[in-house]
Amino acid sequence: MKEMPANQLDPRVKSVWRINDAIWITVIGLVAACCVVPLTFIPSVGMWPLVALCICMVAVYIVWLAMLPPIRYVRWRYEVSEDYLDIAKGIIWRKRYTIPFIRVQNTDTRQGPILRAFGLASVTVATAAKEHVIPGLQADAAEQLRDRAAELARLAREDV
Amino acid sequence: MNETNPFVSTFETGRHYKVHKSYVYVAPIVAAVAVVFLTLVNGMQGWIELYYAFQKGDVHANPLMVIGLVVLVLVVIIGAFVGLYALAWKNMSYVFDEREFSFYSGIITKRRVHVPYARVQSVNHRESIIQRIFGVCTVTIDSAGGSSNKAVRVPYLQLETAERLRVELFMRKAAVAAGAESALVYDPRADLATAEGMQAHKDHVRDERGQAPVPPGQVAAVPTMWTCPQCGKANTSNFCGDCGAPQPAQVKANALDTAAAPLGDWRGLYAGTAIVGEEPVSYEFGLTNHELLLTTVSHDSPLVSALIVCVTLIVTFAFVLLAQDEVATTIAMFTLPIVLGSTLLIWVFGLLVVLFSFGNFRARRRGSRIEVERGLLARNFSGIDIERVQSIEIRQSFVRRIIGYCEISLGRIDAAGEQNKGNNDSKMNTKGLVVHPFVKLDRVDEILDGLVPEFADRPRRVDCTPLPQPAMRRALLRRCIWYNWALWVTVFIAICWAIIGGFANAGEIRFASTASYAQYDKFMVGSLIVVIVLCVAITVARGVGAVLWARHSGYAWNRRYLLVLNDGLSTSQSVVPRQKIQAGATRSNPFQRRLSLATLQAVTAAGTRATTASLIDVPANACADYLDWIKPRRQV
Repeated sequence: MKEMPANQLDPRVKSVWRINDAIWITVIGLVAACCVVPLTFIPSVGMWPLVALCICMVAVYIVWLAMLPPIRYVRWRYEVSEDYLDIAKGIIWRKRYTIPFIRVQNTDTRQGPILRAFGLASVTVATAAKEHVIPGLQADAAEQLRDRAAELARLAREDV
Repeated sequence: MNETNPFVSTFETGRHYKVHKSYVYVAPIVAAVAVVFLTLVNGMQGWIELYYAFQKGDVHANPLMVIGLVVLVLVVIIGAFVGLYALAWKNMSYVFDEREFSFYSGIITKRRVHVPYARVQSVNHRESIIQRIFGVCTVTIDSAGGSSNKAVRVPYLQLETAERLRVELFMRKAAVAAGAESALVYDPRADLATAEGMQAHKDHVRDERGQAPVPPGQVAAVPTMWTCPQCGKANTSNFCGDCGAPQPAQVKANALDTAAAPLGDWRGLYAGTAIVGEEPVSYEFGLTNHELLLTTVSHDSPLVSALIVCVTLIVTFAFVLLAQDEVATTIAMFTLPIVLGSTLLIWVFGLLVVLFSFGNFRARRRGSRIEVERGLLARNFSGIDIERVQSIEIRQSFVRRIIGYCEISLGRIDAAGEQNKGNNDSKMNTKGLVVHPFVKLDRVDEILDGLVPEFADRPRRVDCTPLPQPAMRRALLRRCIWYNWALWVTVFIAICWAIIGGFANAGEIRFASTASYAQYDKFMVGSLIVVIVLCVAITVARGVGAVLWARHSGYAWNRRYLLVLNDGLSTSQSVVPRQKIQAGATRSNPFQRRLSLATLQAVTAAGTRATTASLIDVPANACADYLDWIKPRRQV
């Protein structure tokens, strides 16, 4: 495989992923608990479904909060060259995208509450077909990247 | 057309044009009939009860009065619809402004939709059967941009107006592009909305009628106008008056088209005469007899709907028969005839739908646009600019693969608005614009060269690089085991049966008094054998597909085009211009990485969201080359 793109995300994005995933896992866990708790009232079943659920939850928390974020962070790379945007991501299913700026229709930055708390922002590059998101960049770096991508997209368009 | 100035307008700038009056009395009747029909069907039970109530004498009312009341309600409903549509019609108009086309509508909430001329991409129209009778149609104007953009629909335009509207929009687009808006000249004599235009139209019709009457059955006897492909002059004799070029060969017609020629020529009560002065047609074809017939027979949709009906009926009957009571013994006799009869009926009906929708099929190249017209009763006209073609798709279904025929379609960006109409046409349009529904594989090149000569230097099937050796083994595993739904369903059923059987053996489930455990046991073993046989058959078929896929699939690209070929029991061949690939992508899982393979993907904007042409198990270094190829080259 060819060499990886040069840039990495801001390291703080790992914490953003952790918080985000923790919220989702907790919500799903609570829903599952709602289904499991009534079972514990059946005398012959006892407490073991709840115990099993708790063990599962702990395992999921460990995998998603401790193991995955660093690997995901290492795997997530991007590079903005003069003509195209290069993205590589994915741990098991590794994906690689090349998006020529000629095809880019608009670029913008987005900032959710969690990202804002860490002073981060995400950059969205949209073509006629799909949107590509670079998730966690320092807010002003994201702004610069957005401007650069928009400028390159404009130049590339004039070129054609 | 004025030869010195190409920009002769037939619509006055800034004037509000109305849609045709038939909108007030045709559209509401269609809507009202639908509403009334639905109420009748939904309230069937009520009507029957009412009838019995009358018979028993429970209701102390005159039956005539009840019928009168029902009729009164119907009249009020239809009246309300007509009133509503009349109001809507009053508030509906379209305007050609200096730089944009606007459509006004809405009774309470006023709406105005603008389309700048520069953004007009295609202007299509479609006629339902009822619209066909009156010679009116619904025009759809597609503008640039994918999912967020809805198409503008202008309902109930006369056919003549719709054709003029299309020419006008493209002409104004050309004028804007050339910066020649001021060169636009308005010609009121071609505008039906003016008194002058009306008079000119009447004169024209009278002149046409003045000609010798055409004996019945000899439709083509009238000297037909044809446009010289070389110099663009309109002619009626066999050779071009300007450059002496012969008239192009007549388009091949089929028996249905010939028999239905009067129907095909029938433009409708208010249609107006066909316009002349459009860009010349450089290539045109229809369907021959056997092409139309085989299109119909080999089309998937009748077969699929028939199969669904068949399976549903069999399952329903199976449940009734399993009960083994009196009803079952009565019904048992009728099972076979009912199942066979209904299946056959649905199949024939589906065939007719396909036959009618592809009857009168014409595909042509006019200037920079590809136009497709089809439909015997309901008509459908779609055009696409060559610049907007996202890909060429050559597909073969299983049946078509066996007999060596395929379907050619052009990928295009569909407007979101059109997809909401859940009719048959939109289902057929999801595959892009079908430019030939049924053609022998060796004629594909000929047709594409005529229709889209811009794609002449595309890579061909023979240029394809085949997939590497491990692809075969991986495909077999993938299709016969991992992604084989039949296998997993069988396993699931087997496990379920085993669990139920286990419980039954342990005596934890009590059976109803009519059936014994032995009966259930027999049923389970029997059904499991059937499921396993089905599963094996499906798996073998998938295995054959996998072998074919691995042997014959491939990829190729040259300077401008990517070709992705996925073979198998059914095949698909996509030719994507490099300029239309929005993003190039590759993906790989750990197994692929071990063998240094990857999946190649090309994302285009075709369809309503996006379409991805992909090929599994391409060598990783070829994938890297592919991503390099996607990168823009400034020197080119």
